[in-house]
Amino acid sequence: MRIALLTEGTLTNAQRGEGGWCGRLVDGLPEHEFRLYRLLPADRPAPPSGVRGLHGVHELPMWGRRPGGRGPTALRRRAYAKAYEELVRALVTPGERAGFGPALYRLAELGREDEALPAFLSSGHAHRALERIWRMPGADTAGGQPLVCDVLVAADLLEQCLRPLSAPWYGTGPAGLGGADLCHVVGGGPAALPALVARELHGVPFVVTEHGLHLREQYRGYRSAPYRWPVRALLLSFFRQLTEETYRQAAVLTPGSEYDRQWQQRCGGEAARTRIVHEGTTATERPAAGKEPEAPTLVWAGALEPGRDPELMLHAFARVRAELPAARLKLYGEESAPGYLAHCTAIAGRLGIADAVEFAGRPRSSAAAWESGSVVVFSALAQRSPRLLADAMLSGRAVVSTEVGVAREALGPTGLLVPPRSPRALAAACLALLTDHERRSRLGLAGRLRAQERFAVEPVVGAFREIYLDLVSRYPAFPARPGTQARPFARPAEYWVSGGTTPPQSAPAEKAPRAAGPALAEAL
Amino acid sequence: MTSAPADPVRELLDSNRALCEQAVDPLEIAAALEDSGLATDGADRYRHADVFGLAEELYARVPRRPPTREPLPPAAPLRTLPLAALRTATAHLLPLLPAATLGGLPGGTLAVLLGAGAGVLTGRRPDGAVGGVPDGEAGGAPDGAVDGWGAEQREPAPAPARRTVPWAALGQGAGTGLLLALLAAAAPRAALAAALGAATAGWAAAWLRRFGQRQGGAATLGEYRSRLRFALPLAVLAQLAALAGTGWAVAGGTPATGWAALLLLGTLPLLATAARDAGRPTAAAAAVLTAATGAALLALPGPAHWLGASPTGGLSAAALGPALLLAGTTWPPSTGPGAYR
Repeated sequence: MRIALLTEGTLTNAQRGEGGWCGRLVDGLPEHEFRLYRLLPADRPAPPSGVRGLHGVHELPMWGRRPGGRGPTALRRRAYAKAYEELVRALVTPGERAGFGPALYRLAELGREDEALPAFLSSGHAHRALERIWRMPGADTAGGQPLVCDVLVAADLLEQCLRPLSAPWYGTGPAGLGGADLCHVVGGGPAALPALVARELHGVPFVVTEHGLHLREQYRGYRSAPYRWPVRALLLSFFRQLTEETYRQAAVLTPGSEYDRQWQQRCGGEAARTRIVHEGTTATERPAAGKEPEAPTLVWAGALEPGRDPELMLHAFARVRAELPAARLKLYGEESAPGYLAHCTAIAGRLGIADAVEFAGRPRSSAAAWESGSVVVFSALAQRSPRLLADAMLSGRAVVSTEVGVAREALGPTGLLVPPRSPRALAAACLALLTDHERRSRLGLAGRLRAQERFAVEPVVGAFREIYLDLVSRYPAFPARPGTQARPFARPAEYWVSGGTTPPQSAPAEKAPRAAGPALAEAL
Repeated sequence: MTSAPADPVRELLDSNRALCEQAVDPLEIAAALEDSGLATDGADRYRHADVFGLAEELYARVPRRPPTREPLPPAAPLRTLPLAALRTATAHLLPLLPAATLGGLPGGTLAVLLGAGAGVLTGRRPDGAVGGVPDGEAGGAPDGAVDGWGAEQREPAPAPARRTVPWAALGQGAGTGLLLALLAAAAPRAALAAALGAATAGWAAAWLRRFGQRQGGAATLGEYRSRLRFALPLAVLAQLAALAGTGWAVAGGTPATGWAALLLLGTLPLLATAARDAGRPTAAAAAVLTAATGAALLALPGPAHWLGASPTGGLSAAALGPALLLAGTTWPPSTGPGAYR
């Protein structure tokens, strides 16, 4: 099977040396042909993907200076402007949301014909169209009318976001997305744009895997972005529409946790097409942590920032220390908010626990960090990723965590959950574990077994093996062109059984979700 | 035990009022509430099934009110004006030096080479592209830029811009060098005045750019255009006045054709910089090169002899057409906001 992996290239893929999540998937499924399509920042050196066994890597620079190129001819400009106006209208007018998808595909089609899309999007014509629609009555400008500077900034950002529409990746050649049997979007956002277009043009189905939702990160990131309200509103509306369209069109959604699934469902992801696939980690093969330290020690891990709430940990530890004077606390992690380490040190001093608290920075390895304590504590206000929790559980140490985000589903009954912002509850949970060796080791072992079962690599690979086969069996191997004769055995039997005699260009669009529902429910 | 308040959401609303007023979408409030430690059981307390329902209620109950004084994008600081003046003056005085001291063909060649070099060095200015979309913590990718230990936003330094040959700046610089060498051969004092006048041209071009950047607060593109409509003509007029002053001080007693050449050569840098800012570097280079080539052809012994014109007259005649054409092509784009990014 030919599978196109679409992703926004990130740095840690390379830093981890083994190709990260995509690398593990490609390693685990050697029977398929993978091609990697990456969106990269234009103004930074591209890290190597680090994924071995690929049949090709295609890269497209995004976020930065626009690549050169001529604008459309005067005749075609009107078609461009019309499609762009439709797109903007869908972004700013609450009642016109349905126009987003068609406008997007129209722009992609136009851009594919003459490759003038980026130049058009940064031209004065596009600025005027954007301004006209944005200032029309009915547009949602509750937070203020857009000014000229807003129009310019928003047009620039939209141009950057829409750059994948004019990627040279479409077509049915060996390197084109049309030649793939399915697309696998790893991580949502603009990386889903090529998959959407390939689905529209060539009928290629796609799977979306998200661990930590792109849309949620945009909402969080834009709060501190240096843009005015109208620009934020327009761009976030773009990301929301894009995400909704992606979830609507995706054949299968595979969020990494129940917590992410709720968000996806909120944004239009159908429950019947969703299957939670936990993020696999190679740390499951690591041996359990060795002997506990002599003194009862709490280990806290995470970035030193207000969101991780080390202050709560310090306050709780002061209470623990009052009951158990031999207790010690180690905080691992680097400062993410400037000056926060000094702030925490000052709090420790004020609470009179400075001699028992150690700020240990980044550990040599996470295993070493867990081994240095008797109990691992997470006091964060929000846990969006189960990665660190799972790593701690794999050490075989008992875990205490605040009950936010993914903590409940990751820990289950194998750890103690306490409400956030409650030093008393956290201290009680820590004391309960520190003073009860039998309970500590029982919970630790249970946690290790649970994490080994949930976060191993093999279930991930197995899940995607099934998902790929299931998907391809429901879609034609390649789209039939009108006028060509049907070739025997070009399509799987399931295609005919499901009544796939209508032209497949439109067939997958309507039929697939309905056909997918029961089949997937069974698979689940 | 106290009973629950009648309207528990009210409390939450008061503590998150700024967030709710500035939110663009209920999901933004939901994300922020989750960040502040509110989970599903927290939403129960406010009689909602989940955080999303609670966020929708908050979004509906608070009217949108963005921060009253949102900052406009910053314009170039005032100190860039004298710097730009200094840079342009240097780029014009440098080729004048060999032309005036050596003279003849070697001086002219050296002037062209120095002009091209100075054009490349001074023609580059920082690119004002808008930054990318802010990246959240995990960026959505499974192996996002987070491993949970903090300080994970270690991004590599931006790569140096790819070195391509800046043909337009090269051509413009070479043309300027040739024009100055020709003027220096005919009227050295006028050439000096023109080179000194380039300082005010640089100043005027930088002022024009700054003025354009400061008009970002205009409500519509039409209003922006009307504010910028007379900026370039005013800058040209001011430059002509400054050139007249410089010429009177430095090159008194120059014939009329010399004055014309001085004014034209002194205004060309302003027009060329404005054209380059407006995204037409090729037009700028073409105009300067056409003027220089025409002037060089007219300065050859043959044509000048046949026409019986003075050298400065030929120079003015060759530069007039390109200068006017350049002004004509630069004015319309210079009123648009795209020229001042």
